[in-house]
Parts: sequence; structure tokens; C-alpha cells
Amino acid sequence: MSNHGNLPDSETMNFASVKSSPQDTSSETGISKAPRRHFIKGVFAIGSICAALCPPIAAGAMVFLDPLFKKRGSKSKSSSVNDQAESTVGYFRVATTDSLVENHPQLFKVYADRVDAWNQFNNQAIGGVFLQKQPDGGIIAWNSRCPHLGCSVETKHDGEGFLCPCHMGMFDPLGIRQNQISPRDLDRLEVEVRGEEVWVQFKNYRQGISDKVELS
Amino acid sequence: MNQLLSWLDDRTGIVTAVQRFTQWQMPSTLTWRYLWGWLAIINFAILLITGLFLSSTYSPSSQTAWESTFYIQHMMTGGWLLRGLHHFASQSMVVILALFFLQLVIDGAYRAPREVTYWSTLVLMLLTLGLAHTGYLLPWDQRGYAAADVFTNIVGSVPIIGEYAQQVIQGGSLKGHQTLTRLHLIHVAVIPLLISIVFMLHLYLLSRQSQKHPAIVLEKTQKRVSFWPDQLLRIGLASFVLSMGLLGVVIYFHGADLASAADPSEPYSAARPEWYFLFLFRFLRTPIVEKLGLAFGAIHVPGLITTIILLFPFIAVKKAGYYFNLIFSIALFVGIIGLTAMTLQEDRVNSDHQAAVHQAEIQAARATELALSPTGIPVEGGVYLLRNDPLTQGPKIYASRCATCHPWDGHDGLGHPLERSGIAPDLANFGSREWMKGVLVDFETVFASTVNAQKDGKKIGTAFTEGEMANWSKDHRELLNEPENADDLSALIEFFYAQSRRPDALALDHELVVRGRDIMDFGELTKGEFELTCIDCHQIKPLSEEKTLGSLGTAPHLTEYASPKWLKAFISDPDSQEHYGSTTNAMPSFESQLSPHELEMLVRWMTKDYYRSPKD
Repeated sequence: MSNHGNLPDSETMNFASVKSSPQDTSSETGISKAPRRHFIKGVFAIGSICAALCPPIAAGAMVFLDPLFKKRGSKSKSSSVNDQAESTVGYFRVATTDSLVENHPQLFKVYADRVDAWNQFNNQAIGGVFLQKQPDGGIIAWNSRCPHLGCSVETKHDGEGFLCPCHMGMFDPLGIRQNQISPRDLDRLEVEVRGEEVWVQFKNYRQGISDKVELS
Repeated sequence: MNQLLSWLDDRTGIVTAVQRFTQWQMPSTLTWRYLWGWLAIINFAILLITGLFLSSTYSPSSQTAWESTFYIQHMMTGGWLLRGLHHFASQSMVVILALFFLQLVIDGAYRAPREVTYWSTLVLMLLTLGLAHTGYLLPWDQRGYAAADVFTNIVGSVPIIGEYAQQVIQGGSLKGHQTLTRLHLIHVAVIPLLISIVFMLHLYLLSRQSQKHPAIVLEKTQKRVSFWPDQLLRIGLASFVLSMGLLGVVIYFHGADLASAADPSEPYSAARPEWYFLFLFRFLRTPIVEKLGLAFGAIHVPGLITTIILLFPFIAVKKAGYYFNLIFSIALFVGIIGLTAMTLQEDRVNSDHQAAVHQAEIQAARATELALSPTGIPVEGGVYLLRNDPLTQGPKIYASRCATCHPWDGHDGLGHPLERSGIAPDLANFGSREWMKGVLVDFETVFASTVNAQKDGKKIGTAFTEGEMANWSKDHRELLNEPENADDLSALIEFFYAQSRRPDALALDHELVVRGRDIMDFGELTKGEFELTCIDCHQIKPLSEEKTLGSLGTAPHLTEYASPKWLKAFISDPDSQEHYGSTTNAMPSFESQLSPHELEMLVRWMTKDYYRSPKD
């Protein structure tokens, strides 16, 4: 369609003369008489067709871009089983203190209710954390996703640190990267011990960059 | 610019083609009438655009089709507008094509050498109807499901291959996930692909004709206009009017309707096809057609009519044939409009249909309310919104099982008048403070209707109305109604009301409850005292107390009286010693008649234990 609009009328006339046929001579619209009026008419014609297609395109764009309009942070909330003792937003109960072994990181799943478009899934595993008890009694938590490209990190067979099986990213027992594959160390998460329970403030971070940027 | 265009034209010929097209001459008498085809193209473009965007969210399976449509309609920005445009554009498309067809017949535009062009137009029209119908059922709501039923059954009625074709289209012998994936494929890929192919053929034929037989297009006319820009302006204006009209209709109707999710286990008597298929619906329901079978009405007759229409070019070889075609087409239109009007009129005066439509609207509104509630749409599918909704299921169970004896606010629970007067108490206010008061001071009135109740074919007569409780009520009525004892009566009522622990209970006055508990136990009022206290006959373990008062044997136990737990136990076995005992009771035991789920729905409805959106 844009071809029509871009064509100056003089060109139209060129072509018309090239392929002049018996019908053209009897034409009473007179292309040569009022090229300006023709041009305006043409603009109106194409303009109104475009305007006619505007409502469907606009409505469609709104729906297609809807994920951008949805409120942030509403996608997951702490699971109903966690409700009793939850005080701080974003903390999830992932383990009990007696299930942790000193200097030996273990993988625990994080369960939460998750809204996925039209469905609400209750108590779904939404991610994993490594918990490691330190000799001083403190607990370190890492998000189990590799900061490189998001694969799940595993503990090394010798028990000394972590290995990402996808691209061989290596981390020491404190989550510090040992080679240049991951752009940053494993993502540490906040831990709270509430009585016998270990609660972790579970977050996901953007991958592939050296800064730790939380995903909304 | 000129050079670039010449280069492009040398290689492709596109510029020349566009030029030739824009220079296209047409008789000036045809200009406005000639718009239908163009309008159809614009309308199709609107459908294509909206459909494409709908596909970004719609998910075809029997657990997600309704759910994703609901999400588009109610939860996505502009979703209702998008879906509304797609919905109403499909209807304007049918109207435009019908008028286009009429235009072709009036102009005799099917005559040689344009037979094939005409046939390709017809095929495009039929394919569009196919699009309209498959699109109608994709939301998989009650309406769409009913439409799918009709569609697959019509396919099934095709001679010889019908049964197999139906199974292939349904993806099995029953409708389910595969029905939707397949019909979705037909709607978004198969038919659009066929339309594109036929449309390309159509365009080829049109351009060939304008070159080879220009005289036909321009026969016997003097005045002409060229396509650019005059006719294009007309097309533009008409498209704009069409689009704005659609927008107006969508806003006026607040988008397209969405009925409740498809539930094959629920009858849907409000089922109707889209208005433009009503004629076929009505035709199939004509007694004589019904007798001749579905294949006759849905395959043979439409097939015959379509064949005649396809043969128009040959019929019109003679002048009389043209008039035959014209009269045939007009008769067809009159018949279709007549049948449509008949259906609409019949439906309007048919109170059963109106009631069914009303019921369907209530269910759709309820499903929407529940789906927007904090719990949202269950993972098992939107159909469980209503299946597990006491407000929807309770009254239905009540109407079919309870209302034969117990009225509900004078009707059967669903709002239908009762066929005969009740023979047991009206339960609409069961468990409320009024109910408690009635039982205490006006027992024989509350149970008045039981005199006609029967037990094993014998009337139980005055077992209730002149029983011990009725006598106690009569004896103590005056005392309880003394002005000095007004607070005592309230306290006693409040105590029993508190025992029910109903989810719908209003705020309790705890001081009154404590006072009522003592009156129940000791029978001492401000003025006077009971001759018999409640626990002289009844057994009760007041809430939050350890000790059971009174003993069982002479009267029903009152522990948690009127609570959901009590109601379930009572409905399951009213004959039990804990309740009325087998001698006076006339109510059958429902333990074996109601499934646990039904009992749950019934009791939760009676105790108003269901979700209501805060705005109500």
C-alpha cells in the first residue's frame, strides 16, 4: 500500500502513458487535470484504511504487551503451608536445622504458591537453594542456579565446592567462582533461623552479567 | 526513486502491476455496489489481526480453552476489546458475504467467462462460514460445547464416512483435549490456508479477466472512474465506517459473552447457534425434517441448494435462467430470514427458553465471580468452579431432593413455584435467630405443615404439633413474652444461635450467650422460671465446655444444633436416637441418596458457606 502513497503523480502518468489502451482515452477522471486533488484523495483513502485497522491492532497490542502491565512481584507468594510463622515477605521455610551437616552443602527445594496466568498452583517447587552449615554454626544459602546461564549447579563429587554441569563453571565451598565461566560468584541469599527452622529469602537474579540484579 | 522503481519493475513487474491496478477502470454506476468484495477483504484483515493476537494467549485443551478465554476477557489489558472485535467482526463478515452474494446474483456476475471466478467466490464464502462455526466453539463454554456437539454430530451424519470423520475430528469417540486441538487447527490453519489458496486463484482470475475481457467489465457504459484514487477512497471510507461500527458495537455490548465453562454433565437448554445459523437450527427442528433425519436436513438439503447455486452459470445460459437464479436466491434469503425471525419470535415467547437463558446468565456471572475470587480458577479446570460451588449446586439438590416436603422461602430453592404445599417446615431461615425464636415460643406454627406428612403410608398427624416440645412452647410462651423477660428470651436465642457455629452467623453478643446458657441449664428467668428446663429433655454439650448436660432418650440432642456438622448428621440419618427417633420422624434417611459431595454442597448452601465477591 505504501507504494501508492510514495508515488508522485507524475510517475503515475508516465506509466499510464506507457500502457495507454483504448479505455484510457475515454476516461473522464482526468488524471492530468487535478493531480493535487488526486493526491489528497489518495492520502485520505489510505489514511482511512489504516484508521480502520487501528482498533484491532491497538487492542491486539494491548493484549500482547499485557505481561508488561501486570503488577510486579505478584507472581509468587509464600506457600499456604508456610503461612503460620511467616513474618517477613519473601522468606520461605526450606529445611530444619537438624537436617544440615557441617561443611557439606545440601540442595533443598523452595515451595510456594504460584500464579501462572489463569491458574493458581499451590505449593509448587519454584526453585532450589544450597544450604551449608559453617563450623561457627552459621548457615550460608545460595540460589542453586548458575549465574552464567541458569543451569542447576551441583556439588562436586569430592565435596569441595560446586560445579555447573552445563559449561563447567566451578565454585569453591564458599561459592566463589574458580574460573571465568560464571560472571560472578554463586548468588548468596539471606538466611534466618527461626527456632528449629531455616528460612531463606528466596530470590532469582539476572544471569550472564557480573552484577547481582534481582529479577522482578 | 524512479530508477529504483524501474529496476524493481524490470526484475519483478510489480510496479507495472500496481500501476495497471490503480489505473483500473470501472463503470461509474458500479462504484458503490462494487465495494462488497473489498469490504470483505478489510473485514477479513480485522479478523486476521485480532485472531493472531488472540492466539498469543488462547490455549486449546479442555482444561485451558475456557480458562485462557476467561483470562483474555477479564484479566488482560484490552482483552475484552480484542475478543469483542474478533467476535463481532465474524458476524459482520457473514453479513457482508451474504450481501455480496446477492449483488453477484443481481448483476448476473457468474455468467461466462466468469464462472470460475464465481465458484471461487462461493468457495471462499463457504470456508468463511466454516471459520465462523469453528471459532464459535473454541471458547469451550457451555454454548461453544453445545455448538461443537452439533457440528461433530452433523459431520457424523454424513453418509458412509460420517462416523469415522466424526471420530477423527473429535480426536476420539468423546469430546476432549483432542477435539479442541483439532478444531483449533482447522480454525487457525487449515481453513485460512485454503482461503489463501482460493483467494490467490480468485485474484489471478480477476486480473486475467480485466486483461483478456475488459469489455465484460465495462459493458455498455459511458461513464467510468479509475481505481486510484476515487474507488480507493470509497473503499477507505467504507472500511472506516465498518471498523468504527464494529468498535461501537463491541463497546455497546461490552465485548463478547462468555458462558460458564463446558460441563457435559449439566444440561444446557439455552443452547442456540450464532444468529446466522439459527435458520439451519430451526430447519433441523422442523418435525418433517426431524423425521427424515439429521443427514437429510444438515447434509442433503444444504448440499442440494449449494449445488444449484454452483450451477447458476449454466442455468443462466438462457435469459429465463437468470430470473430463475434471481428468484431462487431471493426465495432462499426470504426463507432464511423467515426461519431466523420465527426462531427469535418463538424463543421470545417461550418462557422455558427464557428461563434457561436467564439461568445460563446467572451461571456465567457466578463462574466469573468465582474465577475472579482470590482462589482463582482451579487447576483441574474452570468447570469445577461451578461443580464445587454450593451456591450453584445446593439449590439444585434442594429442589430435587428436599423441596418435595420442605419449601424454601415458599419456592423450591431454585425459585420455581411448588407443585403442592409443603409437608415439612420451610427451611429458608433454618438456624437463624428467628428460627430459634420460633422453635422456642411458636413451635406448633413452625411445624404446622407436618400434620400432612406420612410415615410408611400413615399420616404422622399431630406428632409434632401436639408433641412434648409443642406443649412446652405453648406452656412457656406467655412467660417468655413477658416484657421483663425480653432479655432472657434474647439470651436463650443467642445461646442456641451460638451453638450452630455457622459460617454465616452474625456477630454474637457474648454476654447474652453466657446468660442464655444458664437459662438453658437452670430455667430461671427475671420473672418466673421454666417448669421443665431444656436439659430435662434434651442432651447438649455447650460449646467450649467439657461436660455433657442432660441425657439422650426423650428428645433430640442439641449439641451444635443447626451447625453444618449437625445438619449433615441429621440429613444422613434423621431416624437416629440422637435426632427424632424412628417413631415420630417422617423424613427419609438421605445417607444413601446423597453422595458425600452432594451433602457437602447442600449443607454449605443452607449455611451460606460459599464465596461472595465483596461488592455484593
